[in-house]
Amino acid sequence: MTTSNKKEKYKVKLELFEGPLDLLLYLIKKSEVDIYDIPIESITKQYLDYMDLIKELNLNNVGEFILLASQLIYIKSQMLLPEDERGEEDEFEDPRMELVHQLLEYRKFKNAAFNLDSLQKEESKRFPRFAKIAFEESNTIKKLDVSIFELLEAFSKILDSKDLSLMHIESETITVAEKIAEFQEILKNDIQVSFNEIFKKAHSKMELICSFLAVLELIKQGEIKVIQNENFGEIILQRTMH
Amino acid sequence: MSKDKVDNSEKVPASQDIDKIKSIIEALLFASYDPLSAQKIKTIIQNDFELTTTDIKKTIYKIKEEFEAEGRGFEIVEIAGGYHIRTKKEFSKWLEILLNKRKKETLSQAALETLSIIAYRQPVTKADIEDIRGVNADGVVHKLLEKGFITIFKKKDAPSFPYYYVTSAKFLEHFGLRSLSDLPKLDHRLTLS
Repeated sequence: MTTSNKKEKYKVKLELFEGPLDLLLYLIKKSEVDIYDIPIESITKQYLDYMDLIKELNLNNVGEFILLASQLIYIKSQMLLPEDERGEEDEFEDPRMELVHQLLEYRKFKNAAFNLDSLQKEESKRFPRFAKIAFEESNTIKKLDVSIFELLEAFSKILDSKDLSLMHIESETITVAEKIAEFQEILKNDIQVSFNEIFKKAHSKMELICSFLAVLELIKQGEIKVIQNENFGEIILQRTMH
Repeated sequence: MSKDKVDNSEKVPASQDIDKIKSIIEALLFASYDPLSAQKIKTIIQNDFELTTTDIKKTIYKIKEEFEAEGRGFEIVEIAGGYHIRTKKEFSKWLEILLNKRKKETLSQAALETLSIIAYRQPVTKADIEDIRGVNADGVVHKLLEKGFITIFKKKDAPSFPYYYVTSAKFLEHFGLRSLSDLPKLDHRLTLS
């Protein structure tokens, strides 16, 4: 089985989680910058760093991330134009404006989604009669307590911390399926395992990536959930109750 | 069934009827899988009792107060345009054990974002959702339809495609809302974090 085949088979749907605008909001919040005055240069750079990772993982909706990346690069180029080439003063519009509107609009609904989440949590404490039947009717959309970007960031840190040049270069073939089986075995014995822990024994970059894809696949299948005890705390993988 | 209609409408419930009506409504609420509206109750009992929806609502409030006064483990909640018997929130811990630790399903971030766009902007098309979220909406819209949180809305005098989506009664029920006007204000966060 070739590498590309494997990747094809385990393509993970990122749209299960969030999209490019969410990544951008996340970067803006993390950099603590004003949404109305986005430092395009540095935000674009950070965004492109994530793009590399997203491409590497061959996620399904990579095209949507590329679309926003090209929008960012276009804005950057507009910002670099000397003022006299931008036209008359009163005609000049900040090239970032359209993106800012898009972000604000998206954020509005992201907040609304946050509110709905609080409501659903409250309502879930009240049980109707026939609750068991209702449970059986519903199935598998799972809530991710840690965002995909925090997970990507944690994974990216792991990649950075390893000296990849010292690692084996694809000498052995490791599949995502093997990794899934391995993690299932680990979680049979322990309810929880630290996210960092599972990458410790990896011997190659391929193995690191397969491990990460295996985690995403297990989340998707609802076998594990990702939790964090405090903001920016250690990320923990936990077996879900059946 | 063949009762004289005029006779029926002139009928004013006697005091023993009032107690009986209360018990009937209680029985209906007890056995109903879905939230029951006052209108539906009115239709169910109309051959025997001529009651307005206001009368029915008053009766339901009376039952609700009785449950409350007796310190029952359940209550009547007003939800999705109707009334539903549910256990009180403070007992959730034990109900989860009874139901094998299974909490009620909670929706994913993508599903919640999509639902909020539909809820606040309905009727909307898939393209409207994609414009706001910046990602393809096929999968998540399909899932929400499948789970009954949204339905397809027929716009009068509009071509049948693209589809317009609106939220359903199940949506209101899931989030504990009486109606869409109960939705939190857009641009406002319930809790700061």
